[in-house]
Amino acid sequence: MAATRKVESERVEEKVREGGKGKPGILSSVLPFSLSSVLLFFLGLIYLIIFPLLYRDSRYVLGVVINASMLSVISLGVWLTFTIGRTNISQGAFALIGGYTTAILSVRYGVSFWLCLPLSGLMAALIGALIGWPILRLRGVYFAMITLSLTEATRLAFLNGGDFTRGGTGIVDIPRPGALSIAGITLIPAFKGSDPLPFYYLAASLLVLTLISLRRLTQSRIGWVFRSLRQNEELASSIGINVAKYRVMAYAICCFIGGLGGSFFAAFQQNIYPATYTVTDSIYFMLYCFLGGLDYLFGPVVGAFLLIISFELLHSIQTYQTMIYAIIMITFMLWLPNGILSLRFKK
Amino acid sequence: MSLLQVKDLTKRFGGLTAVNGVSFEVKEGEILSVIGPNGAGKSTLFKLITSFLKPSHGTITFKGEDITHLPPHVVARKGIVRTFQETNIFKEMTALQNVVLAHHLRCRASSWGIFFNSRQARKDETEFHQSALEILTYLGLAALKDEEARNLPHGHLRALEIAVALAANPTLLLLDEPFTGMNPEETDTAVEMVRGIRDRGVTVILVEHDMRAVMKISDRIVVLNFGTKIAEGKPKEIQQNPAVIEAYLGKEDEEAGF
Repeated sequence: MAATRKVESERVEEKVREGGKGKPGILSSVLPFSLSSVLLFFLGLIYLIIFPLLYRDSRYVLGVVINASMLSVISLGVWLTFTIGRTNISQGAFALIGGYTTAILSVRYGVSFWLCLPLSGLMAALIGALIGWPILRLRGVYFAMITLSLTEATRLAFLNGGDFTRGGTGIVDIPRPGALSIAGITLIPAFKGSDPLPFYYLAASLLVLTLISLRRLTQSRIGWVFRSLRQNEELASSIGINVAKYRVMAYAICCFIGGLGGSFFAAFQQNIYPATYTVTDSIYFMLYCFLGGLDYLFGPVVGAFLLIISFELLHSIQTYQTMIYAIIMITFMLWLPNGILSLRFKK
Repeated sequence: MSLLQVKDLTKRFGGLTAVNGVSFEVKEGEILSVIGPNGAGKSTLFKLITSFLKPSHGTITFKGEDITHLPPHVVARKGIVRTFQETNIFKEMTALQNVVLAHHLRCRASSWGIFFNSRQARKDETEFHQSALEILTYLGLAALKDEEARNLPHGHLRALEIAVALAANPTLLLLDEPFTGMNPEETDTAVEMVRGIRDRGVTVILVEHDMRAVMKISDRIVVLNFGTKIAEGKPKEIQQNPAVIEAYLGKEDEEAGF
């Protein structure tokens, strides 16, 4: 340990003498774009266009990928709260709030799904901001514990919501998304019958949109402020950063994304119950982030797809499914504590 | 008019009175040192001035405005910025990123502007980047700008902390033991650096144990002992003040050998 420290400081001293001239990467100086952006482009192409064309008739495969995509979206919210240094186990609560908002608005008041979707996000964000303001003072295991209880409390609230939430019987027969037209022009046709393909396109678009927005957010100054909160809240406030404001902002964005996800699944499954999202789901949303790697925006996506698809593959050996699943989880946590993506992308 | 007025400031932690009725003033453009034996309440005083702690009693006035009960980030916006006794830096960021981030309170773009990378946001960032490079160069850290902060050796780390504080554009800079862990040579360089900062128009208050540096750098000195101010004056006066000598060395008749 002492030896490596010495080497480290020598290296720094050397840099001081050199005047800080670093070697630029060879590839990046030749190509106008990086290899990873080319890879991303092709992945996006396959995901958005080729895959749905190939599997348009396979309801099962489409269903699995729709699930994985939307669970990735919801987990991306949790990932954002990790960037401010909080372990968040409350995302299930906000998916539930989003789902119920869509269910109640569309079943009771006949509001269009295309309006319900953003409203559900906003409702979740609003409640998230109100609850987040006091609880975000807590850190570490205390924050994790209170968010865990929040998931359970929200489930109980909807269970005991009386006629408004219809208690344990839930809200069923939620209408499928209708047509979206503005000024007489139909932008999105109505989702007909039980064809999952339109839901696939919707889920895929939401995932891509969430990824683009979060990438923009984390690369902007706001992202730097978030990471500064994870590293040192005291220093952040001493240089004039309104710590309370930014951590509520991160949490509210997380809840907004959770609300969107809840709204999507309400329309996709056409029902919602208090038990649709439980503490287990909240924990899974957090696990996907851990598994993929907290330092990478694509972490939760990789984690969610890997776990959900492997869960489906293990379906045939049903008796041992959970056990094998658990072994996979433990192995990853032991050998790759920084997530799967840490294999390829060294920091 | 004085830049900062501390009046009858008291802080109690349960039964312990860490700072007890301390009053002093800081004039614009001076270097004021706060000294005292361990546990005299120096760091508590710093935390009170920067609002990291709320005083039990007393007022703090900055540029004629009562700032006693403002939250810390608002106090920073008014122009009072501190460094910390222990190393306090964004460890996972490079030196440059640390300093660019610390320009935060000069941001003019709104959150939406920042998100959509508006013209104002880009203008802000270019400006901060230039200013950060200027500060790093001034403090002799330009060569290390792309080094992650956790890899920096202690002396450079101290300088980086000051760079971060300077980036917040302070009128009044509070340095908590800036020369700790430095050898005499490094201390001399750092003393010159602090003088340079003062010459740029920043008023400096510092808490320090290194008496040689304190005597060299200070325009005035405030001495605390057990939370109470026991002396205030020019370095020469302080060196000869019997109350100060007693606080540091004990009474002559109590300690054999003096």
